[in-house]
Amino acid sequence: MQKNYLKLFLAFLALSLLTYLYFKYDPINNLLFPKCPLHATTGIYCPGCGSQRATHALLHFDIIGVFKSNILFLPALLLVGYHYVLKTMNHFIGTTYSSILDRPNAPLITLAIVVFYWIARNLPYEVFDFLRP
Amino acid sequence: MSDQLNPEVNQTFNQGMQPKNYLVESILVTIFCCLPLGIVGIVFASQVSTKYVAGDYAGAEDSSKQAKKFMMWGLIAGVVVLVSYLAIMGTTIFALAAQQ
Repeated sequence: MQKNYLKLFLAFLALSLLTYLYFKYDPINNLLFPKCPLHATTGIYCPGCGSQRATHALLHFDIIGVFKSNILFLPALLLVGYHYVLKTMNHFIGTTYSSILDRPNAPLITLAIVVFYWIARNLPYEVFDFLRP
Repeated sequence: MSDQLNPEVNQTFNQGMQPKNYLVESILVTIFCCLPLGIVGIVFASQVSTKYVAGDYAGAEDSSKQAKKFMMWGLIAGVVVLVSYLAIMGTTIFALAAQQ
């Protein structure tokens, strides 16, 4: 039990430090932050590309900046947040909500969205520019 | 342990509940770790329920383990890359600033 609390505390500490760094410094053009290894080597934008910039923008409540960096970042974060809120409520106050992420077809739908997003943001047409970070 | 050696026992044991698919964790890895390993995790996550519904309980269990494996590797790789990069660059920037 004690060990779990230590882990939780360390995770909280690390998250706070990262939050501070991502708040203080803009990841774009800053040497402090790693570039995506996939994009650096192949030039391909993966579905997670732009998340560091999106994190920075979100910490500054720049919602438009968040969507410009990665249009799925905020929806995905809200979805995961909703999932964990339900789980926490079920655990502590005994409610029995089931999250849409627990549905049998949730993984397939997620996969379809992610794959289409991945393809679309790499298509060399101007119409898809809004999907690129 | 003996349950795992006997596939029949293992199968009846697992029939009650669908194995964990690690979908949420894989989504988080996909967003934050900048490596496509999270997507491989989502692929295996989708196999868990497909196989479970088809009655392939051992297969569902196996996909669950694969999903966990790729999600964990993505997470570890992401954390290692980020932490080592921050440490190296932080030290370099600090050293350069101290020199001036």
